[in-house]
Amino acid sequence: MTIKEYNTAVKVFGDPLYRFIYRSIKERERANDIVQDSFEKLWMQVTEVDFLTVKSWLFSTAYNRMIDVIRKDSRLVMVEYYDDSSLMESDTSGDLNEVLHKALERLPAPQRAVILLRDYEGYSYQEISSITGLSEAQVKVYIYRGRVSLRNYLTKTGQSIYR
Amino acid sequence: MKSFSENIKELLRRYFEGSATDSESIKAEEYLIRHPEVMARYEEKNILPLKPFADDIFDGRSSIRSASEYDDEQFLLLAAAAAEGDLADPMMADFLEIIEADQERKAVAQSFELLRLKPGKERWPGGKKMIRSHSFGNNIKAVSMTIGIAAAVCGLLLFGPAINRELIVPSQSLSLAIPSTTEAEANRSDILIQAGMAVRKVSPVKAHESNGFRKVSTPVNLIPQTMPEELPVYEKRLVGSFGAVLPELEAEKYTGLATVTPRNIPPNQQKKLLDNWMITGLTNMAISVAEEKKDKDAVDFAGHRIEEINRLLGWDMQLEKKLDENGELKAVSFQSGLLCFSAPVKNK
Repeated sequence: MTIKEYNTAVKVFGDPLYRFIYRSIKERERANDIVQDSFEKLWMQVTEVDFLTVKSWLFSTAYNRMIDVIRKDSRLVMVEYYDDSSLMESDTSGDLNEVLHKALERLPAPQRAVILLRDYEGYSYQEISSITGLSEAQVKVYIYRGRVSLRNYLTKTGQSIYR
Repeated sequence: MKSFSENIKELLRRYFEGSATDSESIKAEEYLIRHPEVMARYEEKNILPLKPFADDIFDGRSSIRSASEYDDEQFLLLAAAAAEGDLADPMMADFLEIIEADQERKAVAQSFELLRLKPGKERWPGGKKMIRSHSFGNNIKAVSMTIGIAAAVCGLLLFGPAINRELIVPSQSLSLAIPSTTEAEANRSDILIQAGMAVRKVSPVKAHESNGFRKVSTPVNLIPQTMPEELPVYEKRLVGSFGAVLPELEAEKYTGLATVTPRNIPPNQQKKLLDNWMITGLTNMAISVAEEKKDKDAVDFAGHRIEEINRLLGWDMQLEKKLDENGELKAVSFQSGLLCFSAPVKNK
């Protein structure tokens, strides 16, 4: 990859990567650090990474960095598991997308990540599998169960999810 | 013979390891959707390879064929899979049968299609910091350009006469369109070369008696009726020289410069003017390159490189910066024993 291609990668993939990480851990500063680390790493290997594969390389690198951060940070581990008992009684104020993102925060980190990769970036199961290191079967299971959890959250908080 | 329970465990193990065939995967997914508790257990483990299950996780039920036998949790997983477009034919048939028979479940199934997250508008605050400068690359190009020009000029000095010997054509092959122009006038003429296809006029910044450049005053309208047959060969050599020393140039783009044709070649001036013609081509090339790769830093870098070449090879090339009243660089001029030109520099 050339310097020009590297800069293109920064401009084109920086924001989506940041959104993915930020929505996964909900901490702007840390998300910024993780994305910067990923691009630093890319710069170190700029001649070895092909521009055609740089997007999945970046997402994979950032995802692994994020998992490391989550494992080391107890505050982030706290939101690892979905907890019905802490549901708000009603959450009908925001639009559906906002409520979905709130519901997303309650999912375990791997479920959150695979759903974000699927919805934000439109990645296939195979691509998500290569980014996260999970098997395709696990990716599917996480997505199905994640969707069911999202729906359950919306139902319990009174958000209308019917057309 | 393995029991059904063992077969299922083996099937799931292969499925989660990713070694199951397509048909096995369909069976495994069907089983998992119908047994959410098994799926949850796999999910919680989140580690592959999976450890063996205890026997009690399999309830011994055979495959469910009646749509009504799907409980709510099973149905939700089925609906989630359907919304992702993942249901294979037999499962899809079950699913359609269920939702057609139960309007409430149909609405639930449709609700899954709304569960799609849309990205927000957050911007990455650190993006600008990570952009890398091209200045190093420009400097490298500037050096390439400088060395290229120097090498081309050097090549002319060394090989020019040999080329000319090959290409000297009989004087009668060129006849002058304006016979009144005398040889003396031609010698006095200030024209370097009337390059028919040159895209830029060469403007030496300083007259050098020693380098063959003189100030242009009156062009001499000497138009040969025929051109030397060997000229295309000469042009190819010129293009080849450029291509060899300036590999980043796009050949097609600069072909026009290379095919500059010497229109005004008095028979007895062929050698000198052909040399000049080559030099003019080089000069135009240099200006083109300089204008395309304008960069203040590149000029400084090129200046240092020229000093180094002078020191190493004993040459006397000069690259001068022309500054405006604010001290900003506005042009550069290059001078050597054979070549001089000036080119504007646009500050970034």
